[in-house]
Amino acid sequence: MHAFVAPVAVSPLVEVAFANGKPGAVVFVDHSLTPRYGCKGKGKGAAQWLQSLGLPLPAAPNRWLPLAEEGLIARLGMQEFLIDGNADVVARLQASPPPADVAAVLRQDAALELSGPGLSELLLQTCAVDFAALDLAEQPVVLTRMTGVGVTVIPGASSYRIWCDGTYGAALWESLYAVAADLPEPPAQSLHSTDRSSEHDA
Amino acid sequence: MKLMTCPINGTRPIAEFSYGGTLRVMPDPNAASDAEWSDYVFNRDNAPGIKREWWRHIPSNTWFIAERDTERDVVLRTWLHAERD
Amino acid sequence: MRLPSVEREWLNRAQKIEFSFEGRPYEGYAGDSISSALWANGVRVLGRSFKYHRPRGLLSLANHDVNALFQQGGEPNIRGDARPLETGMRLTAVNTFGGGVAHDNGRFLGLLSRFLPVGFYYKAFHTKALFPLWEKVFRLTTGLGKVDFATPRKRTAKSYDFCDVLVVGGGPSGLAAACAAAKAGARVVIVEENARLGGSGVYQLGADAQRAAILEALLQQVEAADNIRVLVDHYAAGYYKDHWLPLVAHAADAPLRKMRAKSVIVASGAFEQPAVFRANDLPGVMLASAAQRLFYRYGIRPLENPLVLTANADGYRAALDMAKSGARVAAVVDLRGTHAANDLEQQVRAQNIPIHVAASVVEAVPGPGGKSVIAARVGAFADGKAAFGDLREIPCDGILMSVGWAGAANLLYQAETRMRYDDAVEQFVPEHLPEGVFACGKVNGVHTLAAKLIDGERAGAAAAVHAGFGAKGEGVEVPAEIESPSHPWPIIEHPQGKNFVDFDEDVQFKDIANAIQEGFDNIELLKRYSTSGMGPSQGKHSNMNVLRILARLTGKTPAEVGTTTARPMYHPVSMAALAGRGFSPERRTPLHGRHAALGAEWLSAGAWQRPAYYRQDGKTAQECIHAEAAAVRGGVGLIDVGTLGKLEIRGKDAAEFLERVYVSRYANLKVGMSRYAVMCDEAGVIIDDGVVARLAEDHFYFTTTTSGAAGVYAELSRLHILWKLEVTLVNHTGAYAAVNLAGQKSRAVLSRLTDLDLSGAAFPYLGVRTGEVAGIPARLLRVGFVGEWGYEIHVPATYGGALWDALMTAGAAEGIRPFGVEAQRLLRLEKGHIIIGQDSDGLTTPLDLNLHWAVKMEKPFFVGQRSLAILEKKPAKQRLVGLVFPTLPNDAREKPQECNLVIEAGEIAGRITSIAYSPTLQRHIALAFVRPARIRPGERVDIRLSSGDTLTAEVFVPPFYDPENLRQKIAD
Repeated sequence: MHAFVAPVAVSPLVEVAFANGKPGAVVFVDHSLTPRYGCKGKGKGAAQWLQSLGLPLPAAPNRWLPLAEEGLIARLGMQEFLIDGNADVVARLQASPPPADVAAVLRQDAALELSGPGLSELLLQTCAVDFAALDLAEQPVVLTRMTGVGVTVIPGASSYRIWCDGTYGAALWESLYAVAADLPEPPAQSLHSTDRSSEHDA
Repeated sequence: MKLMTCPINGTRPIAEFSYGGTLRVMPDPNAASDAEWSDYVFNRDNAPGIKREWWRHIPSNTWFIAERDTERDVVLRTWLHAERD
Repeated sequence: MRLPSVEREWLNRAQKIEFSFEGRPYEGYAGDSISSALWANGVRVLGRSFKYHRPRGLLSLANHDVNALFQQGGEPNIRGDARPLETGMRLTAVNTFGGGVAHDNGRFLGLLSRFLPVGFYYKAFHTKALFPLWEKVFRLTTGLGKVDFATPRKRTAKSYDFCDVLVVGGGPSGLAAACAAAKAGARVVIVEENARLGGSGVYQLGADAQRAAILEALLQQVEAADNIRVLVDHYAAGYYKDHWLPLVAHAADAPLRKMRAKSVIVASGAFEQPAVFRANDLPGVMLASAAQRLFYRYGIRPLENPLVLTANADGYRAALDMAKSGARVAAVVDLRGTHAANDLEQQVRAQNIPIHVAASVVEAVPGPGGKSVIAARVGAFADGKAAFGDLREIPCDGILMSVGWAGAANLLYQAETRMRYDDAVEQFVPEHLPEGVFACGKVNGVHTLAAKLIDGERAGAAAAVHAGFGAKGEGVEVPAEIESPSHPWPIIEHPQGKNFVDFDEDVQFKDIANAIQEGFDNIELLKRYSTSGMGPSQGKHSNMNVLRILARLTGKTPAEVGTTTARPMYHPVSMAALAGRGFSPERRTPLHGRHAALGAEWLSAGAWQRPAYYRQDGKTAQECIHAEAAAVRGGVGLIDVGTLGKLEIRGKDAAEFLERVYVSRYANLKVGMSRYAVMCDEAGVIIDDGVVARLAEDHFYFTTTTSGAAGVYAELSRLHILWKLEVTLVNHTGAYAAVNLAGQKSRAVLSRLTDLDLSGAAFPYLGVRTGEVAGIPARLLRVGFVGEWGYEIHVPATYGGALWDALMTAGAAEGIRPFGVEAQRLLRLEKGHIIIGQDSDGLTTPLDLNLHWAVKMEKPFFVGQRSLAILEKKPAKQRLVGLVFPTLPNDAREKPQECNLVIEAGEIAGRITSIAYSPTLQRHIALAFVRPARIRPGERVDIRLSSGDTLTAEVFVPPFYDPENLRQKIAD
């Protein structure tokens, strides 16, 4: 009988996050090792199963809801769910075998959180979605591409959370970091302002 | 850049999508003659006009059907395959 | 001459700017452009023309010509009209051969002009031996600015931008449109290429304070609206699908904005057109609007004693503006016999300015060296012809041309607008606009100021409605022009020539006429043969006159002649602005850092980075690869196979689904076992292979090739939608790290890390087990792979590094070595394993690859089955076989290579698909396609080597190594 020390989980961003540090205008935080769980099913199977376990359920595709103490549940498209940031809920889900019409999705994402005065400019330089036009009150989830990498984005009032396939994580971080590092000294401005008439281009 | 509307994720630049071929109905392989089967596999109607096509939104892996006028380069509408016309 | 402050000028007189041109120091003000600053300092010769090196001054002052083109250090082709003056600028003209603009050594080319008509280069060079000489000459004489190859790479940003209504052009109609759209609630952006808003409203004044006040009111309205964003010093470089426009800044460091709008209003105005008369390119001959800009924007009296040649009301206004600047206007010469702007005419007469009607300037009289104008020769003009008999010579120091306008319709053409020629305004105007595109103002054929405002409001409201704001109103009546602002023939066919049509390319009237005569009588051919419209201005000041000449000389109407289209970019855009950043993301396995630390030589497999091999000091690549392979055959090696596609399927119909997409049977696969999997497309062509493992009755875990993963998952997702089976598909490619521990010692090594029973009975060849390895939850498969006992181990990606470290440590005693892709390929070739895409192509079927055994035609349906049924009945064209080379020494100078052909009776009969030297077998081995008649072991086939020599090969049935496949099934 072998006894092993619990293995150490390592974030896919560990090498690049260390190498690139933190540029001034945008703050990067690596959340890859946050506990998370994914599942999907055909029809309503996954939704019903999660509800039966007591989770709140976003009614529409591409919406998220907060979980009771911490974390969130996001509905990705019609039938896929991501639960992120609540160790207890994640542990409970991992311990419950899903029904036959639901499959667990192993989530080994690279996950990051971006904030800071340069955030909206960084998004404009790296993503073709008009985030400023979104209504945050609807708690939208956006599946799109940034710097060539497929991402899931949850916009917030002062920070954005981004998930991507872990094997693309280093490339995403490096691209975003390079753009952020080139941003000029940021003026103080609201991150989610629709009013850009104060902008004056020299 | 041309825009395409995913029925689930909304309108995005076409770089977020990939084309999946004309929407075709497979003939019954057991009933079709060799000639009919070959026609289905290899031949397509490329004349400019209104086509129904498979398209996929890459970041979300959402497949859908697009009705597209290839002569005027206009996307008329898009819908999930499961939905009735 | 610079005047004291002019009301609403664009200068900051408090900020003086020092600069130099051709070594001479000058002074200007903040707000000057380079052109205005030079002209204010009395510099009249700003450059030399492209072909004939004629002295040139200002023509448009609007960046619609390149008379004023400069170089500063390493930056070539600076547009004087558009570039703001900056402190310390050291400028030279671009097209001089030494001697500067004043004494350009190239000026002798003007004397040779008779031998340099358009198209001369198609006819003049017959002696091929002299071509290298001519090439040298042309490389020196052609081109404009000089490129500095040491220029450092500058990365410029690009950003997306969004609005509801984009207004291109901040002139009166554009401002009115913006206000109307903003009032309806839309987010509006105005993009204006000049430093300030206003357009022609700033300078087409005719000294009328009321006209200026109208603009002021509009500007205040724009300022007050908080949903109008203004981008000055930016231009829309092109129109792309679905209202996507790149907005380019004149400033070097500003990002290029990729603007997406819901509606676009093109209020881009019009290009003023020159009149064509002899010596119309002398410094001092300029467009009337240029002179008006010099006065109102830059506080400059453009000329002391100008003559105005006109065919519209604008010319009369220009004369009044010149008088206001303090100039003594020599005369107004009107091409027309009568006109409707009586009010303006009276004001001109009140200034004691003589007016000559039904007359034209036929020639500008040059001053010394052709560097100035000293007089205009004026003759009667009727029915498009001048009377040369009785010319009047009127002294003047410059000629203002106000004879017509061509709509700046570039963006409209790119949006596929259908244009028509409007005889009432002698201009092409939009006839049918695409959805979401609107036009107003001069580009729409509306020239009168009051009408422009109404037209702008109409367009703005309509654009807002299209974007979802405001309600559709009733139709708006835009008053028609009372007279044409453009003359249909402002052209003098002068017997002595030098009447220029295109100033960029030195194209004269006779060049156009001769080209037409030579048969280039269609607008597309004429443009290309004459090069008119092909210079940096791209026809902004010349296309209309060329079109008029072609129409008249071929007896057609301008509508019948048509226009060439306009292509992006509207002005030349620097490569730096377009390049921006490239994003080609790499994909890395969780073991990337481990490989780097071990000295990996990287190989790109699509987006993935994989170690080809691990570098060893003092060893060649091949030595490293052979050593890695030897380690596997001799003991144990470890390779990262994390790039493999890893898919999962769960549900009651899982087996059914797999049976439909793969050629083999899986319903009968036992839980805990795996099976090779071949996937075909509808045509029966093999497109991917992998392994299917059954974890439970309704749960399979299956792999694909590295490059096929994304495509296979996408296609299976699509088939899932079509077939509606009860399954769920998951793509776990990036979620699992995977390694393959291969070699006779692999079982011993693994046994130190797991409690799983690794005996051959408990965990047979092709079995799949779940358990823990080094405390990490894992899936283990025993697969053929490299033909040794081995385990493919899959763990969640975050534990990949921990697994690798544990295995390397546990295997240290056995001399475990990491091995890379090249060693893997060699080892697998020794077993005769195929690589899809290498040993197969776009037509290869499983039958060609001897995979008949895998194809279960008795299944009710699988993708490709029907096609394979047809192909089975046809004679085979090729078969994949193994080859060895009995006559090839291991140290042969020339070895066979991939794609060397099999030749039979002088015809191509196959090709080598994979080949390598096997250190284990001490010989070269290959896979190749041969004709079906040649597949018997021992058959001889001829290979044509790359040099053309022939080498005999012998057919061999793989595996080359361990033909009984014992080593992967039986361990020590």
